[in-house]
Amino acid sequence: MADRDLRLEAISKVYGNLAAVTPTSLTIPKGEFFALLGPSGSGKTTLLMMIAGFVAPTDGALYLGGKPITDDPPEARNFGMVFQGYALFPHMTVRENVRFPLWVRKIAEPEASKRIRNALELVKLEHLADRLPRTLSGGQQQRVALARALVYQPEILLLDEPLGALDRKLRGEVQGELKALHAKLGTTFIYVTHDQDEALSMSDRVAVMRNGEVLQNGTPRELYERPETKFVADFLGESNFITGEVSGWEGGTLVYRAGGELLRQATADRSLSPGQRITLAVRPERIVASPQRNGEGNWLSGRIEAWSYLGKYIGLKVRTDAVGSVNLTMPGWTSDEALVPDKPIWLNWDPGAPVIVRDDR
Amino acid sequence: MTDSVQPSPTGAAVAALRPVRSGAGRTWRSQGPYWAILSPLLIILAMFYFAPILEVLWLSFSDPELGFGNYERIVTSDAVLRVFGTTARICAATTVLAVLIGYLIAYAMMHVGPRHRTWMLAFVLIPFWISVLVRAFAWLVLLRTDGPLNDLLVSLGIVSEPLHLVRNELGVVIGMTHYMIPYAVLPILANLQGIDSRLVLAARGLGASARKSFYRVYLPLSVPGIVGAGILVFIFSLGFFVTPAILGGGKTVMVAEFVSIQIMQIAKWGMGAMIAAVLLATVVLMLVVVGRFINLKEMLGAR
Repeated sequence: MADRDLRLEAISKVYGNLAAVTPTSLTIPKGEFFALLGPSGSGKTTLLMMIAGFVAPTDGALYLGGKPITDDPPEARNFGMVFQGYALFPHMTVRENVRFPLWVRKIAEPEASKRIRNALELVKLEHLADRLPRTLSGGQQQRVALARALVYQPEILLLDEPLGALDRKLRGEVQGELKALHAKLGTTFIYVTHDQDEALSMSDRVAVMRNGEVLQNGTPRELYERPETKFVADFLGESNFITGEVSGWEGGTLVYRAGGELLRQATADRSLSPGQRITLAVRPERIVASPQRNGEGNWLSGRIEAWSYLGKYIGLKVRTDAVGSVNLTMPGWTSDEALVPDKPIWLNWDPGAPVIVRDDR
Repeated sequence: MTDSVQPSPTGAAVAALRPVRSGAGRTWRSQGPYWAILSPLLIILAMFYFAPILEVLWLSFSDPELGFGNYERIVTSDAVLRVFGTTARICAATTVLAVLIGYLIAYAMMHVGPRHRTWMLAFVLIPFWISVLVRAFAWLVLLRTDGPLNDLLVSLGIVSEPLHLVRNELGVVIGMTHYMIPYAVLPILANLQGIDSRLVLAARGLGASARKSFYRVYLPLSVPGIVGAGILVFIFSLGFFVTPAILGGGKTVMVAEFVSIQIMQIAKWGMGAMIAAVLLATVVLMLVVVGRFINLKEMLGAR
């Protein structure tokens, strides 16, 4: 149903002389699990509030299925919303909370009761229907908020840091449940979070925001593997940054100089010319450490600064002469030689492993 | 709490609150040392507070002769019945008006910026510093038949002849409501400040109009503040003396003035004591009844 897409057209919000959201255009297709990811103050919640209708945009327009909804009040948009902290009505039982949106819509019995039952079943809370919200645990309250936002089958469900108040283990469980719910309902989910793992693991698409601006938007895989800016590379997962100067081309491979070493980088960007400064981001797991140099490729020598055994993998910090400290992770250490501080070591990575990023810090 | 001109009935109201407030469930033994420190205060309270109250109670049964003679008057005397009726009517009207206006003011204060809120609070509190006597006379001047308000209404052609706004029950209610508004605003404001503002947003987001969000979410959550303010205003209103005496023009006699007449003018001490005792009993009874339904400690901010 491509005709029910939500489209943001150059939407912006300015408070006084502070731009909370700079003009932003996005299209969120029907049924997508879309995450707005960014640190606090990045404007992600303001953007969500504009979509919900609680905050009027300073400029720009919103369209749902081609129809402008910019001036519609929140109650006319028929979106579901799960607030940070849930905002359950404390004077109503779970059932009454879930009934509220149906009462507003004048949905009569027995249809209302049927829908309430279904919604509570969906979040597995039938047995707590007559309790007051304050007698429930955080996770249960979160599920009530979800049931309340879904009971009237909204076209779009907006979630503002819905897992922010839960402990880590519960978070993981609820993430799975949310994802399953999304698959089952086919409702568009727009999900605000500052937690990169959450955004990566749950979403179809993520928009990374900073200072009121969407820096990049794409699938989790695109964002992780092909970050466009230094901020995105750093905010999503970990990255080592290498700065260098282009020295030329060798076939289809870019050659650059970093700290006196000549390194090679696979890139499709032919606009780079000798003398230009570039920044590269390389993930810790794409760097391989060996006791000796063996073979071709990008090799740097260094000394071990620190290492830590983390069960699933080993984390290693290596001091190199050419590019400073480099963090890397490896599944295990296969050599007989022990890992000790100050031990000389060789680092190697594939020319395709790093990504050239825009330095936006 | 209030002006010295009308201390005793208000004092009775506060005395009535005290036993309800101090019902905390900790053991006496564990707090022994603290009670020792408090004991001088308790002795003073007993001597100057509870003893006079007991004295008044005793008077109501013993003057002019031992027995329930004074209390029989509640049902036999038209004058006593009329005074109780007038008092109940005026207090109810004052409570409703003060709470309604107080709610509107508090609601407005919640929805303006912090600077405006400070100013509004100042305007609510300024009347506290003006003598109740001065205020009553000010209302008398404003509202009398040839006063500025009536002049204005007549000259604008809104009414053809001056309204009787004062020296009657209406005047008393106006004066008392004005006096009571701060007492209504403060508990309501405290309550409204405790309401999560996102709840109204949530209601809007779930499809409710602004009006429905207010009636189904905001208003029910402000009931504790409304009830708390109502109790406070009603109880304080019961003891009003100066305002009804001046604005009622001698025709509208409330309980406090009636007690004063009994004791000061016709020296019927037993009768006056009986009325005072009934007033005290009414207040205690009200608090007990209301306390069965509502957590008074929480409501009056004693938690």
